[in-house]
Amino acid sequence: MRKTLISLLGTSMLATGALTTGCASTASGVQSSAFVAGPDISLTQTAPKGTALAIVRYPAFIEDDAESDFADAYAGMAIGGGTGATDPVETQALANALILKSNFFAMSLYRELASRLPEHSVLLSPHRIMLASDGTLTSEPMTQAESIASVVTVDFTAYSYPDLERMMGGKPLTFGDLVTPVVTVRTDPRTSVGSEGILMASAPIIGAAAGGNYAQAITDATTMQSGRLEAGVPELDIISHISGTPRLSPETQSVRQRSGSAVRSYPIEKIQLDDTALAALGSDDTDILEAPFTNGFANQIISLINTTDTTRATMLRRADKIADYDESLAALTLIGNDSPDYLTRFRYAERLLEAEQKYLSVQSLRLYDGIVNGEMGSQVRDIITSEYNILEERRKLSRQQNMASAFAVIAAIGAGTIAISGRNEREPTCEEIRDINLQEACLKERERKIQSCQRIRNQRERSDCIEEAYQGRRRTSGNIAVAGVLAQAAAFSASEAMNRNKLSQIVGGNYLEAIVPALNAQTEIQVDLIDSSETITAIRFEDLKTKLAELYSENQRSLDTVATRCAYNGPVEAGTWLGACENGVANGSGVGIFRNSSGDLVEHYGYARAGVADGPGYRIVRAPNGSYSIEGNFSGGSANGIAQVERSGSVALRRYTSGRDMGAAPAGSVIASPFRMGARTG
Amino acid sequence: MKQFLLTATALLLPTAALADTAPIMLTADQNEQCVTMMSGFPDDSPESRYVFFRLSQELAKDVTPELSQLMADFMIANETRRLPADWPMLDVIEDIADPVLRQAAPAQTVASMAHIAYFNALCGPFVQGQVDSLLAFSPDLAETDILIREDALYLRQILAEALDRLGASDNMAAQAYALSLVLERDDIEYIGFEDEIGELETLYMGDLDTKLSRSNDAVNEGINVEAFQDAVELANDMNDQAREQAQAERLYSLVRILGRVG
Repeated sequence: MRKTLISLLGTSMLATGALTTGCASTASGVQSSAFVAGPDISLTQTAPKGTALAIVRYPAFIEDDAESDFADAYAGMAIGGGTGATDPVETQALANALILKSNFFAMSLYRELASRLPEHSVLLSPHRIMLASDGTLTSEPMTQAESIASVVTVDFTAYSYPDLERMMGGKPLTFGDLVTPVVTVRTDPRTSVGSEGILMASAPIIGAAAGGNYAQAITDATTMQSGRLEAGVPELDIISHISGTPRLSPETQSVRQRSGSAVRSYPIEKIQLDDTALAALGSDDTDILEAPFTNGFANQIISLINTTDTTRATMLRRADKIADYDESLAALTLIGNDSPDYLTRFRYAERLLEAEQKYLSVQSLRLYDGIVNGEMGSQVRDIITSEYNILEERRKLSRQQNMASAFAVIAAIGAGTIAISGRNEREPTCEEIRDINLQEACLKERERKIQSCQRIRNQRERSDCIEEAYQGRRRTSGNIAVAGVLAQAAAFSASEAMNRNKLSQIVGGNYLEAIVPALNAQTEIQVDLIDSSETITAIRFEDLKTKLAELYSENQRSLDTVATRCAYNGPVEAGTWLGACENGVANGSGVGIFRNSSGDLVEHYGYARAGVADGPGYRIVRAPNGSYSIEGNFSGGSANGIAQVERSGSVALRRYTSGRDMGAAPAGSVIASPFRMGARTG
Repeated sequence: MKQFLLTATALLLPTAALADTAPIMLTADQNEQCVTMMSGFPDDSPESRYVFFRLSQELAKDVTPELSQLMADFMIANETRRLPADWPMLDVIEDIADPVLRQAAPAQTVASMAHIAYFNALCGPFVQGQVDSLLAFSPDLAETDILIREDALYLRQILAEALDRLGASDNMAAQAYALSLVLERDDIEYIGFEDEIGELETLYMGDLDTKLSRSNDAVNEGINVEAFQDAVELANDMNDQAREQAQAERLYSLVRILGRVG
């Protein structure tokens, strides 16, 4: 009796153990992304000449000395909650897999966008993850694609939670037939100021993306203050996220929090690829990610491009590029003007940008070709297929684990019920037991019992014994043999459940452990391809630029007004004006950088007279808790008249008098804008 | 004489009126007049015919109603004889290009240009029809457009100079015409620039594409295709081992559980 109770106790503990190991998840995902893949959205926007519409950025390589920092950061800021990783080797393998898959699946997005947007207007920008000079983790473009102005840039990462043990759970995963995209769609921080230029992002990285763009905007403005037109390239948002955006100062960390409400959010979702398409992977050029994700995501991107102000989104980078050829013209292009001498010269300069854009688009096309086609693409597809097989095996083991767990629980409950039920109740006969496993155990027990009965000499007692064996005996405190059998079955099932779970973990671990060298080799090959491509491209690119510069200087027109650097009379101290100057101060179109009375960095794009803003202007204030913009008429350096004010999450028309906000302006009021050709005044 | 000049004005005014209208159907008389005016056009090859049709179009470009009026005013003021309405265009063009006439009789240049404007206004649809037919016959003819535009610009500059010499420099229509010539010159030069850049692009993009394609091939050829298969086999072996061990543990568990009760 005591032995049986102990056994029962052990059984229930094992069953509880089985329950805690899981109802094991079978690592499933959604069949299609949250982006509704409706009919294709058409492009309604025209980008200025020499400007890309979209640049796809992705992590392509981790430098050796950044590997451990990356793995630590990746484990420490896991998307999906918790701190992730338990085994550094496995985390490293998952990090390598993340890079490899991002390389591969980013091509799906490139292909979709390139097929739907005008020729040469989509570029690829692989990033190298490295340590910055201050020792923090960052990323830099491996090619010159991002030197071309673009209306939007799209960050794409195929993400996996950094803990192998959670692979079969609900955590984000990119493995086999599962892909978890982590994305950002951003424009330049000089437009969509209220959201720091972030148009859409995966929910967990919105703050990092906004923080990254904000930090970059501050850097750009500071550079302009020193007299140079330069638009920097922000690091990948996934890097900003896992490294905690170290480039944000403590005062500006609130940008991360505030930006959340101003940006279109994309939930983290595990997309499950169609198994039929997966089975045919590599047999044709079908893109397995297109139907469930890329098509819908491309629609989102195009719709965001359609609603983005392309002039503001590209003005600084275009001016930066034009400065390579013609510094006298560069700052004037920020606002532009209608004079024939300017228009003629600008037309030539734009054509140079277009030549650069076309040239670099060839590199993107060949990167795509190199990664997707040939042996390299074939190997990645083999890896995906192999992962799929592993995942399927683990799913099978999980299902077996679940069945064993369920059986263990049922058996334990059954055993417990029999053990504690009333003394005078009759036990069920074997035939009355519905569960086939329990019934089998009961029949075996009955057989054993009958054989035992045969040894009784007294015939009456022998008959009673056999009858009891067949009909189920009245329970007595010492007679819980069936309960014992059930307890044994429960114990074995629970043990089986744990065994399956362990085997599943081992299968996943073995695969990753074995595949690490192959993943590394594959990543290195992709890096070779990108590096080699960049070397070839860069040599010829420099040569092309020299030729373009010669051609430009041969055809150059004179300008009545040229851009120079002079003083902008800020409210507190002198700032910098890049543009038209007279007598050493701002006079005409250009951009002024100065600090306001609160000490915030201010960019003023528009017109100036006698050193201060005068006429239509677009002013961006980089406040510590987020940027805001004022667009309208200015006089004496301050807003004066109706202006449109954009802050985080709101756009409003306000009335200003000598820089003072006098309240809401009537709806439908027309504002002055420096970017409106022809009539710029409101 | 006055009557003649009035006729000349009347002849020019329809030019202005026709300039902004959509193509119209020509009457039989008008059609005959257009044929007469083009009588001297070469007919030896599609190329030369195309050049003359396009040149007559280009010469009339940017002649606004205000400029037509200005030309008429100068003709009246200088008592310039108008050209007969059916005067062949070839002679008109040759007159404009004639250096002697250009120097000695700027008003005659004005009259010639007025005649061209008139011709284009009257016979524009006819000329456009001829141009379209020739282009349909040989699309390559369009490649000569830039040369035609350059020639036309040269002749139009003669008109601008003539107007200037006649004292029209302060007139807004003449200034607008002079500006249009500057823009036309810029446009022509830009096309030259565009051609050169186009050649550079073709050269560099083609070269880059070839080199990158070769580089891709080289990288692809260098891939160790067995490394991955070996890794998968290793994983499979390890998994088989794990499965065997799991099976052994299973039996052990079973024996242990049964033994505990028994």
